[in-house]
Amino acid sequence: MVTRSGSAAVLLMAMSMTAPACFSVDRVDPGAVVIDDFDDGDFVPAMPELAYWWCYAFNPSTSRDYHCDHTDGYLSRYSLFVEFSLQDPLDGVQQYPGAGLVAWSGGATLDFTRYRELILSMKLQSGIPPIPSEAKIYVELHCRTVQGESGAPVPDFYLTLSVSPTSDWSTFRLALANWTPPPWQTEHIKGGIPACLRAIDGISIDLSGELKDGATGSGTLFIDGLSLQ
Amino acid sequence: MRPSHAGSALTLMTISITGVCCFEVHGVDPGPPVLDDFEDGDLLPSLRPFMAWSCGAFSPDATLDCMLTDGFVSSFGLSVAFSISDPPDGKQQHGGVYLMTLADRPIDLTASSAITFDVRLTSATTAFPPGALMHLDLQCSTAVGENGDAMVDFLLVQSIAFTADWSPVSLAISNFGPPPWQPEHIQGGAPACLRAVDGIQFTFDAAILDGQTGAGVFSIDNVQLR
Repeated sequence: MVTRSGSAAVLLMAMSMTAPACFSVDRVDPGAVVIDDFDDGDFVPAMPELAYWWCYAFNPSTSRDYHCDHTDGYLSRYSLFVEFSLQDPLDGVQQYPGAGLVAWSGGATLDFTRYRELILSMKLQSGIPPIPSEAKIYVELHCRTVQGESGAPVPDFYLTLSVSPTSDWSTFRLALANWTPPPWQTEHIKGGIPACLRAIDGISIDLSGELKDGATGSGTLFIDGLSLQ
Repeated sequence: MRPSHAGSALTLMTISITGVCCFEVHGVDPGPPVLDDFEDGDLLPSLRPFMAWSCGAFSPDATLDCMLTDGFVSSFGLSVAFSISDPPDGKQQHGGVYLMTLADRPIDLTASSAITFDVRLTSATTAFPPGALMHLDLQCSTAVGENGDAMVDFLLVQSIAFTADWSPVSLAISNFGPPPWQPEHIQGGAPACLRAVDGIQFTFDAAILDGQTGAGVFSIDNVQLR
């Protein structure tokens, strides 16, 4: 019995080593991949293709009323935050000023079509004067190497998706099937949304303050636990 | 020669009448489905299950008259004339207008590659602000939110570049996605909505400045699925 079992095992091993690989590699679930949990306390993302976290303000991009750093995380040692003050000049136009955090790749592109969702935890701490309740957080996936339908590069192309911020930590599971080019981006790309998802080279998280014309507001946006699944 | 040709013709006719029809009817390309070219002079789309076109304004809501006007190198196109006032309250209401056709049952657009049409937007006053947006919306009123609740007003959008002259537009189906200002998301994402489209809406957000007024005419023609 022992001899027969041993022979069968050897035969099975031999077949395993010499037989063609008849399984579909496309179906292999890559599992969860951490983009960054910030617990090392630095600005370098855990995902090696991404180079560095930094923060910024927009509308206008010349604003310097912001800074970013680490603080207590969501059930963890550290999170990343951007603290900001926003001002909409009184001119009859809502400029939608905001601030955000971004990690760009060092040149590599990432294929996000292998994943189902992006997971992250966030909270918005409103300051004085407060950020309006209509404020939105836009999670943006950048693909700066894609081509437009005309064949020309579209260097600022990105997909976006919004969530309503919460004052306490909330974890968002955002299906990648829900990202879209913003309607204010009138240039369309070859291959559409899937082409961009296959060539991601940056991730940004923007707080759009939705300030009224002439209004001001301040706050702090915290992020933690970014991963793909 | 003449009798011989007559005989051949008679033979051919006999074969045609009595013979088996051995040609491929499925191979004939009917061309792209025309949703509406408006040449029949009515507001009923050519493609079922879409129902009569309607026109209106939003922020604030109002029903407007759809007009059949000169088309793009054709007798008729569909137009809506509008005037929008933004109340002086420190906030731009993003009022605008739309031309819309609803379907009486959902259709699956995932087999289509693009929607093509001609579009024109003229201003009756000064030019619209740079923030003005035109987009095509695909409505899927049977979509289910990620929390399991129905989302009756859910739609996918794609931007349209527009001018004051007629211009042809082709929008790839793969470029439609949920509007980024919509913080609630649906199960299955954009593909789920594309499989159950029950409305097509051409939307113009005039982005009128706070306390200002704008007016114009929004026109479309030759709407086709490819």
